[in-house]
Formats: sequence, structure tokens, C-alpha cells
Amino acid sequence: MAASLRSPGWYRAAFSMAIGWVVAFVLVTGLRLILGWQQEISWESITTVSLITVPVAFLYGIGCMDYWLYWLSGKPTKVDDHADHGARKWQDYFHFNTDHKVIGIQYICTTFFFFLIGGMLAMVFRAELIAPGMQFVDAQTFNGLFSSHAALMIFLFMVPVFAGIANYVLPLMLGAPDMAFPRLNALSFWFLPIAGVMMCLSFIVPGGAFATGWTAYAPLSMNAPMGQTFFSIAAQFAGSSSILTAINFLVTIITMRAPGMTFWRMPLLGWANFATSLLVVLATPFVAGSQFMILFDRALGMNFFDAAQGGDSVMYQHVFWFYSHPAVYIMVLPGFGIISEVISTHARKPVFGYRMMAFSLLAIIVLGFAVWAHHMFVAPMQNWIRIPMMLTTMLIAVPTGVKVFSWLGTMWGGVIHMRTPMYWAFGFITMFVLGGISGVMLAVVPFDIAVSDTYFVVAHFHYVLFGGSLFTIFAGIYHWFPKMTGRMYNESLGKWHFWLTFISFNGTFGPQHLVGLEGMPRRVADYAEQFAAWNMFISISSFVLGASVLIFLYNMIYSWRSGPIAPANPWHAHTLEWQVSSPPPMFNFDEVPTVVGHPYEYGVPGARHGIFKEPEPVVATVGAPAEETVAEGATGADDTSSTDGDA
Amino acid sequence: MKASHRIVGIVGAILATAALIVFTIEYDWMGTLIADDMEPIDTVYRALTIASIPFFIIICAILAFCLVEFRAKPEDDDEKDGAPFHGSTKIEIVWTIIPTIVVMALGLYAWTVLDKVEAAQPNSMTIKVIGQQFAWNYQYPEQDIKTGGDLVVPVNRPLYFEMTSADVIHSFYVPSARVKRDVADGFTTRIRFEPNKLGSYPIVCTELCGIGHATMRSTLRVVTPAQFTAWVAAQKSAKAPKPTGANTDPQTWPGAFKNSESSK
Repeated sequence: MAASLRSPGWYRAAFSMAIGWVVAFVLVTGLRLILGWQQEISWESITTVSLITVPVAFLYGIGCMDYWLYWLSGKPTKVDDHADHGARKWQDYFHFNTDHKVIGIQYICTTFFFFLIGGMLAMVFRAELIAPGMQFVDAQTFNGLFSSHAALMIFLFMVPVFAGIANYVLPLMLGAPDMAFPRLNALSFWFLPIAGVMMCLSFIVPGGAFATGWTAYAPLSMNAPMGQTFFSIAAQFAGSSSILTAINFLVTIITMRAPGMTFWRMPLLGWANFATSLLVVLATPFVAGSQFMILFDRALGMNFFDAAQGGDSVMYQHVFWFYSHPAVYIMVLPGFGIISEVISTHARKPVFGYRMMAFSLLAIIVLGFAVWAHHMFVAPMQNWIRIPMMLTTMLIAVPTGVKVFSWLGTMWGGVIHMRTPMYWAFGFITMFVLGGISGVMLAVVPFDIAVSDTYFVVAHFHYVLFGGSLFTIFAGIYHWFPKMTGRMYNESLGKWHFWLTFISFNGTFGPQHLVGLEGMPRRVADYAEQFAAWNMFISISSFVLGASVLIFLYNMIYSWRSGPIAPANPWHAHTLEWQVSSPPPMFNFDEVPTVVGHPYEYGVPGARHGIFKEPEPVVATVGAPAEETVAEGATGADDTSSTDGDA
Repeated sequence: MKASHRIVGIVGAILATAALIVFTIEYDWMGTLIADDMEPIDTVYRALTIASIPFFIIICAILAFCLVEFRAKPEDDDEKDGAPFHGSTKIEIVWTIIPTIVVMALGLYAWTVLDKVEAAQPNSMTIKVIGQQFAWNYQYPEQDIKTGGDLVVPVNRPLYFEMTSADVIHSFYVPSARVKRDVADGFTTRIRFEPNKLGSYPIVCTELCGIGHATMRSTLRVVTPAQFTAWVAAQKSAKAPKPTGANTDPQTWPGAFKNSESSK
């Protein structure tokens, strides 16, 4: 028992969490005693402080900090020979591990777990909305349900699931043995369950779950019940997780590409994650800031947003949307990368306009910073600012359109294999174009004034995030399933999953455009009789949509356990991750691959992307630029083995 | 693919485009419009939809064509590749420039519409709107009236609203006039419109404001000038004793408070 309390793991985590809570109790109560407050014990203050101390204690207990603490205290650190890499049995996924492949699976499974919870919350409030009046839950619970639905889907699913897929696939694609900072990578994963559990726990505290939307607009959130504090702090953990992962991706992409892989020979998933990570690093501190301000207003009475005390409630919206609009791109750009891989591979064609695909990603992230106030066209801000924000928002349609057209160009003249990932890619293009169209419409100020904060907006962002992002996630999961698990998924179940989702998705979110245009506000527990028929239809479709996820789950679990053994390269793709066994060896590549060409040279006679032998000594006849690249890449690869150790 | 199939496909796409455009023009998307000067907003919606239809149909048609024409045949080797072309600078320039022109043109058009629908009108009647959890209060400075009841206004007179909030942020939305603006403590926001149709129309709050958000509704009653004068007189005589509160008109919002106890 004592030994299990000393070594990292769940026992030590539980024990140190209890200590963490006692620390919070002593700290708060002690301070109140010393300062002579009348009421010494304030459970709300203790809970607020323990929301920080208990998770930190958990991170220590599970083992995220062992190496750093040993190093910090001058003790000999454990020699990191990566002997604990890889997962040998399923229990290994529940322990601290620095292998990017294990972390990738941990990420994907955790985020899908919270996706299921978020989906079930949606089922409950769609049941409530099946008819006007109140059916099953009261108004406060309803507000809590849709707020946690959005918060879980955004912070615990959309943003991190892409990080999970990239965590698994990207180092393999780049020809790297792991991410640049494996311990940081593990830490950023373990932030996630903390954030998710904290958001879910808010349902059981007095006053119920946070009920101010995922936007948590001040001043409503300042005086909301305690659940709001859970959201504010959970958002910090989720945000820290994505910032740390983004730094990790940036360093990995910049320094750990295989010899010969120049930026212009990098697969588009690498480009997509490069662009996304830039966005995360620059934007996410703003949402952290906005939630800290809310927390400080609530806990310490800072009055940032209280007009009566000279505060400014609209400032909150600016800071919040300065992150949360780029967040929309954080939630879809990696999907663009996935779709480029999927279409090129399954249509067996080079990506059309590869460089423009990369440039359009960069154009989107630059423009993405200049559009945030389009969420605030009806908010109290200067009228003139709406015009430039409208024009920049509409301009984003241009690089996005370039990507859509290039995907069509990639398919044109190909040999299209209609496997499950390709179904999702087709579904993605059509649904995402619809979401993009309603997005351009919402950018138009006079129209936005009429439909802002109605169900039209709800329909729009579900077409973008569900029909857009989630479809790319499904495409990516099916596409890399053989690589991750070493098993093939079931094609016909995959197609059933697609068709059921595609149809019920349109049944759920299509009619929301109509009720929104007619003036049904969003985030309401009750609505006028005129919207009753459509809402019943929407609710029933949404139950089918919920059921369609069960097919996916069954397919994944069953195929992982007993699907047919997958070959190394079932799709005959050219990128590096398919050139190793499924699942890949413990250190990804037994010998370092050398990249000699572009990743998508389907149909080019004799073209190769990567070859597996030591880079040949540079011969004088080779052109100067190529010589430089190879040399650079080779040094980069040498460096990785040493940086690995001191991360 | 046979030539006859292609013709059927192209004709089908053109017919679908035409049908959707006709439907867009004819269908009553946003319900009753009571303010004639807000008509351009409905037109903007239709213009945007009509501009999007060909774009969407072309993408669907290309996808369908690829699916039929370029689909792998059962006899194809798994490693058979498509044609190795990598792009075309000309096409890429075309599909960058054309959408840029289209969205910028639509943006400039929307700008002129915005200026038009928000332009101040002479002889406007000012009404102050104060949002509070969970009711709308109105003040008529010209008539010196305060009410928490219906928003009663005379027909064919331009209205000018100066709005603020007593607590959290709300949003004042009149669907039948296509106008909406947030109200926030510490700010005064302004909207305008001119009602041209008699009758009762819903007013709703569209910014999440707490437990009673869903039922924070009010009614806009557009009446004749004579009725308005009578209503003003009645309000003035009943001013002192009558306590005001959130009002609901069961005819406008049937079912609104069906179970209001549970939502309180």
C-alpha cells in the first residue's frame, strides 16, 4: 500500500487529491481566521480554491510532474530510456505515458467520452423542446444543459480531438520518433479529463450547472450560482492543454521533420496543424484572460464588468470573441488537413494546387484575427466598426472557397475508391459549403441584425461544426483506424453510420434555419406555438442522430477487438505513416526515413515520397538548394534524440 | 458516362437552380413584415440566397460527376492512379478573383442597405426601452408615460428607440420589423423603424439573461392614431395606482406561460 502511494498512479492521485482539498480548506479558513472575518468557514471559497489545488494534486499523483520535481530538487532523475513507451494492455492507457501514440489514443478516447456526454445532454434538452411549455426540466436546468453541451463539445471535444488525431499521426507523417516534448505532451493530455470532469461536476453543486451559455457573458455570469466558477476554472485547464499542445506541435513541425522533408514537401495535415497551432498560441490566452476576469470579479470583487462600479460589460465580449472567433478555425483547420489527406489518398490523385492549399490556410488565420466583432453586430459598440468586420468576414469565404474548389480539383480525373472515409469527405464538402453560405449571410450586417441570436445561427454553426468539423473527424478516424489499432473497421457499418448521420443531421439542423428566419430565439426553454411542428420534427431527427453514434461506437469497439488484421498500407498511400507496420513500431521508424519527393505523387511514374535508408553523402553534382535541405534535415534528426531527454 | 447522361445531368442542375431561385423569391421566409422601410432586409436575404444557389449546385454537380465518372471500377487495381496533374495557376486565379468580386459586391450592397434602414427619420417618436430580468419597460418622454405593459405605438409614425438595461444584457427583438439590438447597463443603444400594419406582434429577448429568458416577452401593438391618443389618456388617468409588470398577450403567444410556475 505504501509503495503504491509512493509510485505514480491512481492510488497516489486519490491520496494527493485529498491532501489538496485539505490544503484549500486550511488556506481559506486560516486566512479568514487571521483576517477576522465574521464567518470563518465559507464553503464557496473553499470550493473555489480547491478547484485549483485538487487538480494540481491530481497531476502530481498521476505522475505528470515526477521527472521535473526530481530534477528541481536535485535528486537523480530517472534515466529516460523510453522503456515505458507503448501500451501493452488496455490498462496502460489509464496511466501516465509519454509515447505520442498512446497519448493520441488517450486523447481520442477521452474526447469521444465527453462527446457522448455532450450529445446526451443535447438529447435531454431536445426532449424538453419537443413541445412548447415545460416538459421534463425546469428553466435553470435547461440553461445548464445547453451551456454544458456547448462547453463540452467545444473545449473537450472539437478542439482536443484534432490534437489527439494529430498527436498520433503527425510525428509518423513527419518521420519523427515522437513529439518534441513528450512529457509536456502527457501533461497537456492529463489537463483534459480535469477540465471535463470539472464541467460535469458543476451539475451537482448548489444552484446547478453553469447556465450562462459557453459564452458566459458578463454581467450575467458575475452573479450566477457556483457552477459558473467550475466553468471558469475548467476553461483554464482546457485552454492550457491546447496552448501546450500547440507549442509542442509547432516545435515538432519546425524541428523534427525527416531529412529531406522541406516545408513544401510536408503533408497538408502538417500544414493544417502548423496553422492551427499558430492560432492557438496567439488566441487562446485571450479566453483564459476573459475567464480569469470573470473568476476575479466573482471571487475577489474586481468589478471589471460591473457598470455601476465603472466596469464595462461589452469589453468582456471583445476579449472573449478575440479568442472565440479564431477558435472556430482552430476547430476546423485541422479537419481541412484531414480531408486533403483522405481525398488525395482515396481518389489516388495529387492534391490540386498544393501550395495554394497551404497559403489559403495562412490567409484564413490572418483574416481570422480581424473578424471577431461580427459576433457583436447587435452589441453596444460603434456602428462604423461593423462595416470593416463585415467585409473581412466575407473575404474569408475566398481562401475557404479555394480549398473547396481544390478538393474538387483533386477528385477530378482520379480513381475514386468509395470507402467510408471518402463518404465522410463527400458529406463534409456539401455540408460545409452550406455552413459557409449561411456564414457569409450572417456576415452581412442588415441580415445579421434580423437573425442574430435566433435558431438560424444555431443551424449555421452546427452545419460548420457538425457537418464540417465532425464529419472530418469521422473521416480521419476511419482513415487512420487501421494504422492506430492494427485492425480494419467494418465498411458496411461505416456506410450505415454515414447515411444515418447524414440524413438525420439534415433533419435536425436544416429546419432550424426556417424557424430561425421566422424569429425563434436561441437558448430558450419554451417557445411560441407557431414553431411547435418544426421543433417536434427537429427533436425526433436529433434522437435518430444520437442513435447513429451507437453504430459508430459498436463498429469501433468491435473492430478494435476482433476486426480483420490490417496490412501496413491498406490504402496504398504514399505518406510516411503508411510505410511502417500497423500499428507502428515503438519508436515509429526502425531507420530514419529520407524524404525525396512530394507526399501526393500519385500517377507520377517512379515518384517516391520517403525512402528508408541512410541519407547518401552529398555529391557535388547535386544542386545547391537540395544539398542544403538534406543537410539541414539530417542535423534536425540528430538533435531530436538529445532534446528528447531534456524536455 | 454517356453523352445523353451528361445532358440529363446538366439540364437537371439548371432546372434545380431555377426551381430553388423561384422558391427563394416566392416563399415567405421571415413572416409578416410590418415596416415597409425594412423591406430591403428581406431583399438582402433573398439576394444572398439566390447568389449562393448556383454556387452550391455547381459544387454538388461536380461531386456527382466525379462520383460517376471517376469512380474506381471493380476490375481496377487498388494501386491504379489518377492523372498526375498538380494544379493550374489559371484556374486558381479565376476561382480566387471571382468569389472576391462577388463577396465584395454583396458586401457593398449590404452596406448601402444598412445605411438606408438605419437612416434617421424626421418627426420620429422617441420611446425609451429598459430591459430588466425578465420584463420590458417602456417610457414615452413625449407623452410622459411609463408602462410595463404592451408597447403601444401609432401606425405610420417613425419610431426611435433609446434602450438600456437595469441589470444584465438583454436583446430587444421585434421579428416582424427585422430589428434587434442588445441593451446593456451603462450603454444606450438605438434602433428605429416605422410600423405600417395594424395588429399585435411579438417582442422577444434574444440574449440569454437568466432563468426567465425564454419567457421574457412583450407585445407590440400597432394602433390607429386615434386609438393611440385614447390609450395615452387612459394611461395617464390610471397612472398612479396601477402596478405594472411583465405583460403577455395570450393571443400573440399561446402556450407561452403554459407552465410558468416551473420556470420561475
